[in-house]
Amino acid sequence: MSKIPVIIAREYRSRVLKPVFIITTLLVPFLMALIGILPFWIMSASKTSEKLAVIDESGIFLHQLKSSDELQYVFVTEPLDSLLNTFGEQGYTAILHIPAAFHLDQPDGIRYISDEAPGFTTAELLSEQLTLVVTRLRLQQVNLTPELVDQLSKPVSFTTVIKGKEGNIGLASAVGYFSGLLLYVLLLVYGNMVMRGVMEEKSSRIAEVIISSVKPFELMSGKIIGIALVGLTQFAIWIVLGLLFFSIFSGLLPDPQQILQQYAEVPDQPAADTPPTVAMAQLMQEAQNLPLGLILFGFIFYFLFGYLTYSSLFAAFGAAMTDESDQSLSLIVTAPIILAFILGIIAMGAPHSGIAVFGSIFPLTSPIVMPARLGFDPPTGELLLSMISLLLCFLLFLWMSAKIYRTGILLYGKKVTLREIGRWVAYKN
Amino acid sequence: MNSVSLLSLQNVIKNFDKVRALDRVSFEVPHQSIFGMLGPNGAGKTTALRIITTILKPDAGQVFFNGDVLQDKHAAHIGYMPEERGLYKKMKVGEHLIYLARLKGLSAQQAQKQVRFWLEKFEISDWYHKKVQDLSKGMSQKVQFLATILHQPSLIILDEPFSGLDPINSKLIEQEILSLKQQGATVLFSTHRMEQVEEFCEYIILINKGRVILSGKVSDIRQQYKRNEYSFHYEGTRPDLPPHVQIIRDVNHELVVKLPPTHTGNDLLRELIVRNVRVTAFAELLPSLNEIFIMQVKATSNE
Repeated sequence: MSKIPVIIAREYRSRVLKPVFIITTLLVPFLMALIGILPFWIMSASKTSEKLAVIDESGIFLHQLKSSDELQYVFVTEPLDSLLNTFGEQGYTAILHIPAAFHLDQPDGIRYISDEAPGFTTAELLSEQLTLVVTRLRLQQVNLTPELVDQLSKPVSFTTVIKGKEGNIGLASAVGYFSGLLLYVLLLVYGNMVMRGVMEEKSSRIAEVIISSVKPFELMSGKIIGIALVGLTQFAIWIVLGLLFFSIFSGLLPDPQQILQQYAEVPDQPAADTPPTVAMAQLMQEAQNLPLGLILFGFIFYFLFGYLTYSSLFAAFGAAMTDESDQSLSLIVTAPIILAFILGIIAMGAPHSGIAVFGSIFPLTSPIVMPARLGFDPPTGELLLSMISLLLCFLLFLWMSAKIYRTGILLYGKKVTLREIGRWVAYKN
Repeated sequence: MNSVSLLSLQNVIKNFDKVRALDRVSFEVPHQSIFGMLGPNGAGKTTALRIITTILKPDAGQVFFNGDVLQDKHAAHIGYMPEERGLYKKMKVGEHLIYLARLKGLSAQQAQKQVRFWLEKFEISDWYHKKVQDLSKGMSQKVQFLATILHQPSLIILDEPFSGLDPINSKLIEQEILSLKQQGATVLFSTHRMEQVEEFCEYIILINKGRVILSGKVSDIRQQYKRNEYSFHYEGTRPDLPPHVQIIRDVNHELVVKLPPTHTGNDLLRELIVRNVRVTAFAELLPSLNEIFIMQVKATSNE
């Protein structure tokens, strides 16, 4: 009878029954949400709202520049000389000085006067808004009415249709970003868990006792499978929590279909003013058009085989290392995971570029890059090739790692080199 | 199948890279014996034990267990306590022992029963719920020993079992080895502490540089290496002895002498009686295993 189930049970129980497992399982979704949202939040939080004192000696911009959250224009009549000393005290970030000589045909000479240089976004926005005013006024000069100008400069938006379905690039990117990030974290965390487990067995000298009862391969696979089950348990808890969360909040939300219908009846709304409930409802509708089944299947497939591939490597290196301080070898395993994450980000920007296609097929990076592309519905051929190459790579690594593990686990007190590890693969027994 | 020897190694060879760790090693471990494996560090003792415990496979040669070719399934009948031994620090003593017993093929119930029995026998039942990391060194050594014998193996292999043991635990394990032998187990252990070997090993093997340089029954070996030396106690003044008797030592009325190969102990006794010496004790001096060990290792190292 195989003793692998006994080993799996110990590996599983010793981790799941620890309080730290419950704490991390509950905390990780929040942390992930935080990591995912933080960049956007920081961007919006760092948006400055600037108050500009506008001295418009030319009189061209009065009533034309519209204040917004980011830029607030206050037209003042105070002369520049006196304002220069007091604008700070009066609560202005800067003075926007438009000279009397400013002319629509020769739009030069506007000065932004402040103690600090404007931020890139502020400068960009200001230039954009000034240009817009000048453009509109010049169009009016050639006898276009303001209404006509408005009509002519109406922004154009487009809907994406992929394989006959309406999609949302932003949503596909978001899903890809989250799966890529989650897989990156999971591969590192669980891979390291396997490595630490192997190192613990070696440094506590229990390994030799155990492999006198079972084959090293059984011990290694029992550990890898046990920890995989820990991961799957964690997923299951997250899915249940997610469903629970969703069912509570979807009860509070009105039906998206209804919102959209009501909204469609209100005529002629400018796109920028879409109320948040409607935007949310649109997003949920579009989410239904994503290949959700494929994304979920892909996520679990790439987690499982990505984990199995990497954790067998982590196990091999864990066995080869002699003490906990000697972790430089683990960098060799960690580096491709980090590379995969970088490729994943590139793949989201250009999901069908050569580098994205390569990254999603090459088995060391595919577990992260392919899930990041899944929202963009990659060609079936590429998907199949990617899965098959990952499977083959897993089998190769398992075979190699078992050999390294078997030799490494019995070796004490000697620092090993990569070349030696390579030789172990060739050992007969 | 019952054979003469429980364990038999025949011309076993094991290489690591270019180093030959075992070179045509052959020996027999009889049923229900206590068998000592001696040798300096790096001699190949651990490699030999790892081959017997099926951890390593020999490159050439054969190993028989109870008459069968040694296979992985025999691991259930072998208990092995390696030199580098330890336990999972975070586990409790009871569950740890059960786990190791189950890896030897015991069912959950059997394992539970055995663990309770042995903890009681060693009078450490209250350790059941103790975490391994809270045990002292001596305590965890006891636990390791229990883990080795829980599944009632017919062959118990102990690699340097006494290294790092305090005298009390050392004695306890010695007694346990003897009682396990009484119950039918065969014990094979490696050590470099000669006095222990002399105390209770019936058979020994001496390995150096991967080769067997001496093996057999302890009493036979000592006979084989005797140097025709005798010691006797006398009363009064030191007697005059014939010239062929070489005096080695004379301390507190005890004389240690060496005879030429042509003479025996009886010849010496006769000489003493003729000379009217009052002899209170007389013994042939057999070399200690330690002396034989050093002699042999030196001889093979100088080759």
